[in-house]
Amino acid sequence: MSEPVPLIEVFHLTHVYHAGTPQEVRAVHDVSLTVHRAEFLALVGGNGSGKSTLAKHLNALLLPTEGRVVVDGLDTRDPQALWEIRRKVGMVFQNPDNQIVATVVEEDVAFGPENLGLPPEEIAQRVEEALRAVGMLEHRRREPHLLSGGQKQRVAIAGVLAMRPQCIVLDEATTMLDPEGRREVLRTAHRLREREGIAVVHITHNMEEAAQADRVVVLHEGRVALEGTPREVFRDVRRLRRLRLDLPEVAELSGCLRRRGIPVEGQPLDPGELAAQLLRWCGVVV
Amino acid sequence: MSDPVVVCEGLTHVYLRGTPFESVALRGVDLVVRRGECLGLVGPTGSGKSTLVQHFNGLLRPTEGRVWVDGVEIRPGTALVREVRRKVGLLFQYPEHQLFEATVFDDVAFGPRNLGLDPEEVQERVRESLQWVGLDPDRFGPRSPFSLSGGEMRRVAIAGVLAMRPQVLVLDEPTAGLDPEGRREILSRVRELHRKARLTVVLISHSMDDVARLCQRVVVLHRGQVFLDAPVREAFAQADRLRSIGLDVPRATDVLLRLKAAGLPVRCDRLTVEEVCEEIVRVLQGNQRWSSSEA
Repeated sequence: MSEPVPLIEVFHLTHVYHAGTPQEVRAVHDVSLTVHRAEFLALVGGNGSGKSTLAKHLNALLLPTEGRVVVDGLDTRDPQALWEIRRKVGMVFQNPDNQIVATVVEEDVAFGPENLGLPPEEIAQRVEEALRAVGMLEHRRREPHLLSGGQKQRVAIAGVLAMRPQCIVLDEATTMLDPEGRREVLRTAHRLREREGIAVVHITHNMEEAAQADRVVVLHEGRVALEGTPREVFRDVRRLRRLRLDLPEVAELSGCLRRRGIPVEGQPLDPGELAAQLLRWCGVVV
Repeated sequence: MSDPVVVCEGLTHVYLRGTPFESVALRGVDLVVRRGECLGLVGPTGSGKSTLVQHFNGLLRPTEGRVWVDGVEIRPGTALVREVRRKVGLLFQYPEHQLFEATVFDDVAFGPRNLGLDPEEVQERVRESLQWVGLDPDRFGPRSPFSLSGGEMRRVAIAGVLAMRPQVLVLDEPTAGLDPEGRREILSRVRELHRKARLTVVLISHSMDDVARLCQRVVVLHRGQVFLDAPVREAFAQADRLRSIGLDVPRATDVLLRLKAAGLPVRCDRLTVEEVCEEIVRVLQGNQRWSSSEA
């Protein structure tokens, strides 16, 4: 893999809600973080750890109380840069029923490009590309409310894609979906990263999903508590428990096997990987 | 085998019948919930889970077929529904959105007050219910529900249902959207309510791990029909069938399924990480090659 190129840089970000009132809450405290081009970054942490607050700074939905956030060279505090930043970094939220505005799928996806004032042919082309990229082209004329949760979220992603973004932030976008819906959305996000080089920031409580990322950042009480590849981050069971998190089940099983004297190597995170290792010891060729 | 507390026979439910929006949510469902069991109800979105449980307490009436709750048949236009509703406590998804009183105490007291109970009885029920969900009544009672964490708010909502002293507790996705810690807390409270308070529990969940940890029996719905009704271990050993309708098996169990597919003599009806670990150790120790390399 080539040298990672920074796309979004967060410098010493602090965010305080209701500053100067009795309800004052310091949600994010001195966080520095880089999102690289074309990387899949998982952002995890317990409820109240500051994940969503941090995410909303990535496209200037929130502005720093202290510190700064720079998106592809643009400072989010610069009002002139606001729309350009929102075009570069799109967000998909938790509830699939709250983010669709139109009564036909393709009109919903066209909403953003229309606001950019693009010519109709360009809009039509972008909508088609975006729907194809999320595997929803055949549903282009359907009514959004008749779609499944996973399909609705993919339409929301298409709406972001039609803006030709450089980064998509999934703010717990899989939380309300069933297992199939989750897989659909994640498969789509991974494909966009590979084929289009779009960076993905995936905020989730699901450690199995985090295990599939290139890099995991763990937030705890508004600070970065751990950061690394999934294998590095999921090595330390006790630490994760203290941070109110779980291990992916396969990592937990590997730890259990090691304690029983079976020398599981590395940090398998996927059932296939662990099974293959066990089979090799048994002399079964796989 | 204990006696049935909810019985559905040939239950069919059609929404908006006779309109262009008509949709069949349940077709011919036969199901028995037995007293004291913890039943997992799983299935993809739109499979009919929520429609089904709303028949358990008379919120919906069958289009066709019959439903009995604690021996009483639910029929349209009967006056018995109120009694039935009290027997079956239903906790909807994201119940914290339905909290509305100024204090936790008042929120939990809302149901019992509506029953016209005297203040001491209300007080006793609220304290007891909050204790069951692990919230100290003296500390949490006077607080605003909106000052609590997501997991705590959800426990307050469960306490509100418990304060009605139901026999059956139906929980629709009780851990959705909670962090792992909040999820563990809710699950251990539900386990206690089942084991110690001897409540009958119906757990609706997308999480096969939750079902594996809590339930003895699992009913899988698919397109409004019962796709599978089996003890939890037997159900998860049928991974291919579950996957064919988009459901998961626990990831640890998945490791066993792969070992078995490669020809190792493992049993796949192991669900928790500890059980799966034990099974792998057993099989590896029996494996000649591994034992000799150890020696």
